[in-house]
Amino acid sequence: MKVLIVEDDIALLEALKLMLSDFEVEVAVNGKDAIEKYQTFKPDIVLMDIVMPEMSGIDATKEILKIDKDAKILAITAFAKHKGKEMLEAGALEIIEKPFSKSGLIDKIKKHAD
Amino acid sequence: MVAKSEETCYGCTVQNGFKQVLSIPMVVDGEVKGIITVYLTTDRVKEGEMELLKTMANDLAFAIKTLELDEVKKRAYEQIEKNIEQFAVLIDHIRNPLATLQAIAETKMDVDVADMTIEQIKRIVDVIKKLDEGWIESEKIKEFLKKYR
Repeated sequence: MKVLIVEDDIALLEALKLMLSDFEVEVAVNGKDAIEKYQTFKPDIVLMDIVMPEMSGIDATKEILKIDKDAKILAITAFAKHKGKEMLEAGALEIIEKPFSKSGLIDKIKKHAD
Repeated sequence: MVAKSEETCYGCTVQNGFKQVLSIPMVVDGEVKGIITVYLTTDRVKEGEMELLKTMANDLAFAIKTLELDEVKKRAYEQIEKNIEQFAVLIDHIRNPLATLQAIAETKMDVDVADMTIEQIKRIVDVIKKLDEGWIESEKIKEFLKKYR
């Protein structure tokens, strides 16, 4: 399964790669980068941070869904209470609040990717 | 005419036909906001005129105070808005390293150490949740102030 991780916190990005070592992973560090990588990598699922420089996860989600209306995007955020609703309205399937467990994250990926 | 005589000669009010000068304090809530000075061409203040002038002076004082309070409220609202924004950013800055730590604990640490670390992460998350609740309350207050400012 292919997972695109979109996260501007480099330490967390690396940690997420460790968590998802059983998956084929590509990374992006902002919304714009995510749109480009989505088109080249063609992931089964996207883990999208919300607050990022250049382009937010909310805008990137909207853009990716314009390109592929069947894109599966899960939000991973510290701003669940503050930005969660906006992200769901943008088209994210679920909000995963940081911090999260490896098993919890993988369960959610599998649930939505299947 | 009054302004001209004041500009040129403070002592000329009598020469210009003024017989009395009244200074009326502009008072609101016991605080003097200024003084209104009235030059009169008559010997006496007519009945009711003094009350009318006092009322006018106090109404002006009230208006000045209202403008001052509006300015204070505006500044307070701006500060609250700024604090709420910073608060949310700080929470984000705590959750991100916690997520990193949890990932490292689960993938790189021995089970015992990982369990202890995750337990401590949970304790911090509980504190953050309380902060989040405070943030939501602050947001509500901000919206209320926005509505009535």
